[in-house]
Amino acid sequence: MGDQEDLNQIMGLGTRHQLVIAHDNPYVDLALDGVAPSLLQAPGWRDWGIEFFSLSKGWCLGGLRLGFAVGAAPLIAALRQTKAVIDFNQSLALQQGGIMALQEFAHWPGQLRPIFRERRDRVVRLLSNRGWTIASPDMAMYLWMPLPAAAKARGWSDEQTAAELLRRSGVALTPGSGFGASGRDWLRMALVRPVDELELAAQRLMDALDE
Amino acid sequence: MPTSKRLNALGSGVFARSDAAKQAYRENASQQAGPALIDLSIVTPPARATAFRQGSSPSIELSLIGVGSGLELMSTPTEKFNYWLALRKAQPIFRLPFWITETRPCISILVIRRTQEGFTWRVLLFSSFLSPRNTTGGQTCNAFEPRSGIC
Repeated sequence: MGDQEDLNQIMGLGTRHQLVIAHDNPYVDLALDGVAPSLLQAPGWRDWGIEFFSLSKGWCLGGLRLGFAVGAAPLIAALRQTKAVIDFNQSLALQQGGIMALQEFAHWPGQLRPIFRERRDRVVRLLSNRGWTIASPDMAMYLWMPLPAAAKARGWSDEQTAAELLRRSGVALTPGSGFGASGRDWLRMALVRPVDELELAAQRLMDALDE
Repeated sequence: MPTSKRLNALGSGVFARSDAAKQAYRENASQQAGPALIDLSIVTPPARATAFRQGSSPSIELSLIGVGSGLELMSTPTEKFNYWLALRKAQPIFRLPFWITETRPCISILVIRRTQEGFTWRVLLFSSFLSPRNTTGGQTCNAFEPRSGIC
C-alpha cells in the first residue's frame, strides 16, 4: 500500500514522462491507523492518473462486484469505452444501491475500523507473546506473517507451512507464494472472524507449531 | 466438478491446492469429530460470520427492514427487471434487487439487517415470487456471484 509520499513520487514520474498511473485502492476505507494514501492526493492525477475503488472491502459487498474509478477525463472516457465492449456492467439496481450507499452513508465503513483494529491488535499480541512476531498493519484486514521459526527450522516453504498448520490445527491461512514471488515465505491471515474465534485460531496455530 | 487448467493455474496452483486441502480437512473433521475448520484464508467482511452464526430466518429479517418496490427496464430483452427499495423507518437504505427471467424464474432479494457489528447482507434466491421457501436456504452475498446460474 505504501504511503502518500510514494504515490506522490510515482505520480510525478507519470506526469514527467506522460505515463498513465493507475492505482488500485480497494482498502481506502480501512485505514486502521492514520490516513489512507490516495492517488487523488498526488499532484498531477487529473492529467495522468486514475484510481480504482471497491465496495467489496469497506462496504462488505464482495459478492456484488461494485466499484468505481476516478481519474483524468480521457482515461475515464477510455475506460467507459473499453467496458462497453467487454461487459454489460453491473446491474443498474446494484449500481444505484452503491451510489446511495456512498451518498447517504459515507460514514458507514468507519464502523468497521475499530472492529478490525481490535482483531488485529489482539491477534498480533497473542502471537507475539508466544514467540511469533508479526508487524501490525496500518491498513486493511490482513496480517502478513513471516514464516515462524519452527517452520524455518523444518525447512518448510510457505505452502508447506500452511498445509501443515491446517492439518495440525484446522486453521487455514493463505500461502503468500500464491500472490507471486514477493509473497514467498509469508502467510496471510484474514481477520474475518469474531475476535474470540481469531484468538482461538491463534492459540491453535501456536500449539501446532509447538508439536 | 473439473476445473479448467487456466483456473487451476491461478496463483501458480497454490490456491487450488489450498482449497483442496481445506476440503479434505472438512471431510476428515466431520468424520472424526475433529475441531472445525477456521478458514482465515478467505476475504470476507465481518458481517458474514455473524450472518451464519445467527442463522435467522428470512421472514424475520424481511419484517425488520420492510420493503417497497420500484420498476426499471434493463437493456437485456429477456429480463424484466425490478428492484425493491429497502426501507427502515420509512428511510431508504439500499435497493433490493430481484430479477425474473423469461426462461427460468429466479428472484434474488438482498436482505439487510443491523447487527452488533454493522449490517448483515444476505442474498436469498426464490424459485418464484410466491415461493414460501428460498431455494438455496439463504446465502450471504459473498458466497456466490449474483446471476451465476445458481437458480
